[in-house]
Amino acid sequence: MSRARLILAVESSCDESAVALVREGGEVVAERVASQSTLHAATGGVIPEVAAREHHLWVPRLLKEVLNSAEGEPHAREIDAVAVTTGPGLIGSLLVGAGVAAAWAWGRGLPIVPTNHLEGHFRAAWLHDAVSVLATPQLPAIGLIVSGGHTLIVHVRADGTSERLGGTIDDAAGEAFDKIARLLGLPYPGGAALSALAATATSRAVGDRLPVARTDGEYDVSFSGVKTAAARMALAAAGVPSGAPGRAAALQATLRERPVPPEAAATIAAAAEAAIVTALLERVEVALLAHPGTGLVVGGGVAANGPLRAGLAAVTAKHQRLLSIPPVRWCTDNAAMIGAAAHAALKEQRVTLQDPARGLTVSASWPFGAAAAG
Amino acid sequence: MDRNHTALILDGSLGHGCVALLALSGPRSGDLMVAESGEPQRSHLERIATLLPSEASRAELSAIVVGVGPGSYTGIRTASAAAAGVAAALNLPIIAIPSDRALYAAAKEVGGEAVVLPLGTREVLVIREAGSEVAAHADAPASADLARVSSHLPHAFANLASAALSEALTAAARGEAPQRSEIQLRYPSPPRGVDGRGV
Ligand SMILES: [Zn+2]
Repeated sequence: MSRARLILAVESSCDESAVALVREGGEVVAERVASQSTLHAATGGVIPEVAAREHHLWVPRLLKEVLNSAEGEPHAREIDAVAVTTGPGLIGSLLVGAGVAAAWAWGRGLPIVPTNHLEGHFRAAWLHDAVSVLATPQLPAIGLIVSGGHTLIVHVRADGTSERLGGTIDDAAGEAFDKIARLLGLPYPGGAALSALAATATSRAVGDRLPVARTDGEYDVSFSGVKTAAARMALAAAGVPSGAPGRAAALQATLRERPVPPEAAATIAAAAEAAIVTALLERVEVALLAHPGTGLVVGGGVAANGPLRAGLAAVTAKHQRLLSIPPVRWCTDNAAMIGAAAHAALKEQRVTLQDPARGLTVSASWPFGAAAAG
Repeated sequence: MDRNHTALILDGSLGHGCVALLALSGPRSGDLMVAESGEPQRSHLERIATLLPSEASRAELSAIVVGVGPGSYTGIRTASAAAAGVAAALNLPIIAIPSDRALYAAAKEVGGEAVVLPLGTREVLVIREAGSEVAAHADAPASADLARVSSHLPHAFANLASAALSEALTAAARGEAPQRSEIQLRYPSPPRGVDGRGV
């Protein structure tokens, strides 16, 4: 009896180092994630050189932990291939994961699968652990990927090929959340804190006042207008004399000295969250209507946002479509999703197994669904 | 019959991969069997190329020698990542060698007194006999020819690692498990924060 293919997956594209063992079909046999978010909180954002140094510490550690863990060790000799994120992401960070993964594969005489981080977020919905098998999403599907680094809507066909429908033309949704959170004095990464603050708002009517800029593409979104409007509201609430908000650093310095009163901060958070979520929901609904019979697959850290989840559930229910959102641990960056994406790409014959000695190319910008760089 | 032993040498201090296989036993003991040290300035920063010797017989590897810097930030990290991966896959000891000492030894071989490595656009790493320091581009002394330093680099690493390699071989012959330490890199300077200061 042949067993399902087992992949060792490595992720290091941004500020999470992660290693996982993933079975074809989506079972996560073992996984470890190390987040750098508390480290980056001190500097208010990810500094590439700091992130790369952390990956250098953690990727080899997590690799050993996964292979020596109670759940991973029995399968360590069954591994068929190694998948690693080679883009998009921070070059210095990608190189660490790619270096460890390619070298480990070479040492074990195994092939390697260069894997796209965004496809990882999309395929996370197919993951499950040995005890819980959720309803498996189906292709074709509309994919919504929303995180601190990405906001895009894709149409993935039954054969796994895809087209990008649209996305943000400026900030990612999570980035907009983080920037507005910072204006309100919330610590980095502020998305979850902003959402919690928004939930305490007593007035929600103000949501109508925050504009989401119009864009040319019907699936595109722009969040710079929300950010500017939130800044203007924050300055007014803090009692700063009117005038266009200056550069981000000056604006933050002003608001550090004269913070927004808590009640007003909650109102602004609610307005900003409503504007961002509404913009995403509108584009998703357009995509679902234009592609009859598709389900909706969601991925990325912002998929943990309560109002967004509720809104997506309502939209898919209204049009009788299947909604798939992975548990939060597989929405944020992780390696299991890279394993899932590699399995899918192999099964759909969009990639072939590579000899690690031939080298790997990492890429800061690798579009969803495009072939890997040579 | 005893198997042949080799060591894999990996360094990225020049910003590209330096890869060599060193024979530790047999008639060619002490010879570099495969040595590739790319052109300096032709950065391989976006490619893990040349870091893994395709002709190597994995079964003969007995140790990994890795340059731990100081040198190119991304280069030393990438080479070290590869060293950690191979060592983990094959349960091999890692022998850490300061890259600047190997670079200085290689410079001496070609008649140079200092090696000057660009670090970004404004700074350089100046490596001399007494040690290494970060300096402004304008204050840098003349550097030994980097292409020639590069080609002598695998040999310099082999020399610097020879004592540790024979210890590792002896330990392996006694059946002792390799020490599984983590690789501590020596970066030229702390990372810069958003305000330009070290973090
Ligand atoms: Zn991500």
